[in-house]
Amino acid sequence: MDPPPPEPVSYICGDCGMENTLKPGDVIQCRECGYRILYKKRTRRIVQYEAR
Amino acid sequence: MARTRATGSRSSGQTPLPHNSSNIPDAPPNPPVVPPVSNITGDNTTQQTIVQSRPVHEDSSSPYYLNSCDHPGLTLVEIRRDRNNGEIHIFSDGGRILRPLIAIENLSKIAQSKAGKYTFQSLLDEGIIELIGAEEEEDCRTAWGIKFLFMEDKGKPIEYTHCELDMSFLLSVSCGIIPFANHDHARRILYQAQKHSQQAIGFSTTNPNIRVDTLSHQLHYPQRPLFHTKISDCFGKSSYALSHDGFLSKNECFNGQNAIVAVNVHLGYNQEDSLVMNRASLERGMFRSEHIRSYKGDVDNKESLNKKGKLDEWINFGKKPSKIGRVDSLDDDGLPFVGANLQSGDIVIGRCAESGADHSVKLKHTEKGMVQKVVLSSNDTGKNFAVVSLRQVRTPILGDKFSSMHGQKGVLGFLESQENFPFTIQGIVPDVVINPHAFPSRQTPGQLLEAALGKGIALANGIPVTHATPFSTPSVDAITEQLHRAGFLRWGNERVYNGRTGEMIRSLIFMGPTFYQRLVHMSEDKVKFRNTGPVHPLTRQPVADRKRFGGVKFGEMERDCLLAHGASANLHERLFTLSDSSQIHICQKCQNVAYIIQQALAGFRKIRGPYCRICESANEIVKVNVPYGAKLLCQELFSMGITLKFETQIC
Repeated sequence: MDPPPPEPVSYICGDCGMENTLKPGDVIQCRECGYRILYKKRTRRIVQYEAR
Repeated sequence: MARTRATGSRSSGQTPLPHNSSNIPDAPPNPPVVPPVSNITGDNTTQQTIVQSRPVHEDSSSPYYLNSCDHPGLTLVEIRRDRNNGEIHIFSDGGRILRPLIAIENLSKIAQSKAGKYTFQSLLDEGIIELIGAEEEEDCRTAWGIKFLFMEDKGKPIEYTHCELDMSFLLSVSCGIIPFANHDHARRILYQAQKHSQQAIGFSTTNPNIRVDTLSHQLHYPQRPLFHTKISDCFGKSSYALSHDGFLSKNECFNGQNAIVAVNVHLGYNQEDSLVMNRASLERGMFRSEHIRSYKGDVDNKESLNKKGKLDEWINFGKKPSKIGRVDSLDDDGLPFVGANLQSGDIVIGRCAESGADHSVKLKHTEKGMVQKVVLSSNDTGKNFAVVSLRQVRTPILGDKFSSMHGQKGVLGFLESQENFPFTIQGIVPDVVINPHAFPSRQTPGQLLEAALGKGIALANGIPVTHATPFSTPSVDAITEQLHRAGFLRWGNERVYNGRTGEMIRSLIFMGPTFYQRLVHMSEDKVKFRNTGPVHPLTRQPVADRKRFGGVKFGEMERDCLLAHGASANLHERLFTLSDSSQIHICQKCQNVAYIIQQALAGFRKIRGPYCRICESANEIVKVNVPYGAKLLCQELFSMGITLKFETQIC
């Protein structure tokens, strides 16, 4: 199986919830509100866990 | 003379808070109440408590305003006169420990008509309860409980100034929540209060989703114990909405679960303080816990780069094939996707320079987990941060440590299937089986009382006796009576049937719900193995650390054991062959170490070999086996001007 094509990475602002994209070297900051904590969005890839 | 200095909303018409004038012999017995206005000049020998600037306090909903961040500016000042040293002590540190005591001199203010209408706050305001700090405590004579107020000493009543609200309030939080603590040996109480309560995995925070701790543990299904103690109830008053669900207090100070514990020798698999656990219970989620470890990486961002201006060695997050570990789970931003399963040795944070140099953060061989969250942030000094949190869910495995609340720790020794446990007439099967030998010498009958009481509470008809407050515990009669009413044998024993054969077991087995804690010491974090591995560069002996594949130390005491046994071959192997064996050359003529050098011979020929520089010959040199540590010592002494001589013999 081919690996899934790389999807663009986006982040969610910890304050306003806006989705952000970042380029290398950018200051990590929300475009909308200027909040400096961003969370990575959960992947859309299929992940499989072992429930034991 | 008492005065109240009040600022903020509390300005006038306020009853001054009580002082304990009775501590000072020369103070008037009933000082006049002065309105809290300008009269600041007063008798400075008086002891007093001043409440400063508290916001409107009609909210009797929260008596827990002390030292809390939602009531800033609240300070209680205590002033004490030390007559012996001629000193006045003023203590006003914020956050210092104060505790509520009943002030005897104001006890008469309690009115029958107001019965049931008092709140903690109104009692504080009236001075019936006052907050005593470390300085004032010096001059207090405190009764342990109400009944001690009426006791007499040689026919005379004892003049107390204060009285404890409850006897268990003498104890700390971690100690006051131990059920039947007064029935246990003090040593065992200390084990629980100081060690096990700190190591118990529970629900340590209510905001785990926004935290990035380096390492944190959470229990999956935390429970409240069946019993109550006065101190644990104080943390969950119905007026304190955060820890009360309107019906019962949530008791956030407990970290553990209620397990059905049987006291039995389970085929000898719980010898020497080990436990047998029910595999089915664990599969249903008992003592399952989550362990989150966070990894941090930082890089310079463009803001700071513009100032420095060296772009060629600029390190940034990014995904590049790395020589040091797998990068399969990383996105293009150099950070793993949320939900990725990272194995030991994988890259958690990908970082590389423009030149291609790799600066990635790699997982140690002991670390692995699923990505719980990835947090990015930046600060004012031009740094970008990334934190990756890895989650690991662990079910108890052999060697994990558990403890009851009575200093009875033990490790998991065997996971037994549910069907092999003895079962009662109700079909109850224990979750944990503890060995009876844990009790006689340890003197912790409190655990057995807890189990018996717990069984009565869980299955009581009507309103159960639930309190197990230290020093005011229910009597054995009350516990046995409760069990009897619930239809059990009075002493908590059960008639059981063998799970393997189905036959009745002739002896009765004691069984009951006991509050158990899972402690942080887990065997997965401790396993250590090595056959060959890294050695210390200086001594050439194996390294110690588990993280670096180190060995287990064979120390002096172990050496003494082998010497005492005369096991010389074993000793030689352990300390020499498997450690730092090496060889040196000795000149037999002068008994000095001969080093290998390169000698020039005639005709541009060179010969490499051991050569004694003292005897200037290479004739009588022998090769001996010596630990590298001894060779090192020899060289270090030589550097200080001390030579070691080696007497050699053929063996």
